[in-house]
Amino acid sequence: MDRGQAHTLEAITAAMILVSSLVFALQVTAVTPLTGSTSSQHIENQQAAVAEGLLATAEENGTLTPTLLHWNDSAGTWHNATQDGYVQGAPPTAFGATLADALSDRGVAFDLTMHYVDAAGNRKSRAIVDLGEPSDHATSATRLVTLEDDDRLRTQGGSVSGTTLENASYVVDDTVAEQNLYAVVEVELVVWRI
Amino acid sequence: MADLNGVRRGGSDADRGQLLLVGALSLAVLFVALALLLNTAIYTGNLATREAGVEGTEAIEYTSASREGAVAAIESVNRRNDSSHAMLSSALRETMAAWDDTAAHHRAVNGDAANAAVVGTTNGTRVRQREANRNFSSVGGAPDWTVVDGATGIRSIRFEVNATRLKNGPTDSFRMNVSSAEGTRSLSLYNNSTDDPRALIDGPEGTSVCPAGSVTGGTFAVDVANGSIGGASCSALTRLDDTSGTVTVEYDDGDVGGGAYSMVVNGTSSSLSLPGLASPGTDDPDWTDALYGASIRISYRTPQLEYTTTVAVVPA
Repeated sequence: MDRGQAHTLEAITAAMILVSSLVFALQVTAVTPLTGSTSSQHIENQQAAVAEGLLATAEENGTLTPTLLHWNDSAGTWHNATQDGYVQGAPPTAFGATLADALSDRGVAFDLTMHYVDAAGNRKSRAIVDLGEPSDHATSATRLVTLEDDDRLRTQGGSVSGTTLENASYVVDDTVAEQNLYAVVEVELVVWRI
Repeated sequence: MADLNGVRRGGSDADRGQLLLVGALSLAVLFVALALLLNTAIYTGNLATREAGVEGTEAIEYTSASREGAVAAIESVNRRNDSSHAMLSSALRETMAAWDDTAAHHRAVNGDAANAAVVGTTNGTRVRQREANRNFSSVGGAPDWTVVDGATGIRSIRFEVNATRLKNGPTDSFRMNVSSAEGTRSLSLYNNSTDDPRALIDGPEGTSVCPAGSVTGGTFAVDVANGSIGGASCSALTRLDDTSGTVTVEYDDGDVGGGAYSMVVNGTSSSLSLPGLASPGTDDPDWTDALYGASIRISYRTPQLEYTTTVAVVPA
């Protein structure tokens, strides 16, 4: 009688251990440093706020648009960048320096992308900074930027050049030819922990 | 399991071994359960820190972006078009529609429906002198004259001043008076003893003097909205267009100052008194129709939020 009870208890315990270890094993394998997990939620919240704040500050102090105008008209890329944008770090502009200070120097990777709507009405993207594929717990912030016909491209050194957007071969074409509105683009900043 | 079913050896000893095993296993289960419990507590802590409220940031950002788009559009139509108010208004509506098409497309990607449309415009009149070599006298040549009377607001006052024409010292120098219910504020432009241009701003708040930042090719810019003179900051300048009620603008001693200027006042040419100005395009200085401001209706919809607002947009 005693023995039968012990056997039953033993069997149930064994089954529970088996199930628990399976559950535990499944949880364990899912957690890697780059996996989005509940424990990184705090950091995600923080980084989303940082990304939002960076774009808001840049827009407010007028450094966001100059970075979009840091365009090499003859090469058809951003100044000193590859066709995929800046792949080794922040762009050499005022906003780029802020990004480097706030993100790359603290071990946070980011992608900066400009989204635009082409003449056919399709939404396309052009990378400004491409530091790789964002991980599962990346967060992003976006901002709308209005570009105007008389906005001038920047030279390699960052000073204002003589070429206006109207006369340049830029990423996006003039939306309204008869008015000063050139295009409305969306800048997206994606940040994630390395 | 042969031992368990075999003959009892030592009686209760074998039972104890088995119970010990079961006990150890139970403890192991207990520990695993405790670990899971702890994890749940951490997860609950995480859930508690997540934002439960409705995210309104995007709607506010869209409103602010629309406002900026509208300011640029008003400036653009005023610059590119100086025909009738009706033409200006339709040009503004078209520009904002084009702006909204693209901007709403970007927001739609995030699953948000956004719209910004011009619902009304405020007609204004631009007063300007394009000829940079002319002095600041009226079209008839009077040095002391009323530029505009009967306006209900003034914005975008900009001068491109010829520094060589300015008088030395503030006494009897070129002066612009802006009078409204807020009092009379004046801007005097003169050269100091070393021929460096100065701006003297006088009003109910007191008197301030600002030096010009730089003079290029004999001219320097005075931008009242930006609060800058020759590129240098001068915050006292921004008091000039801070008006309420009926606004009157007068020039005194316009013969000791020269250059180009422009400003936009609230009111149409029929409601304003513009005695010293020529009809549009006929002579300098003249007036043209312009848009003073506009109202933009913005709506923003997300699955959690429905936001509608009407904002008044007046460029600086």
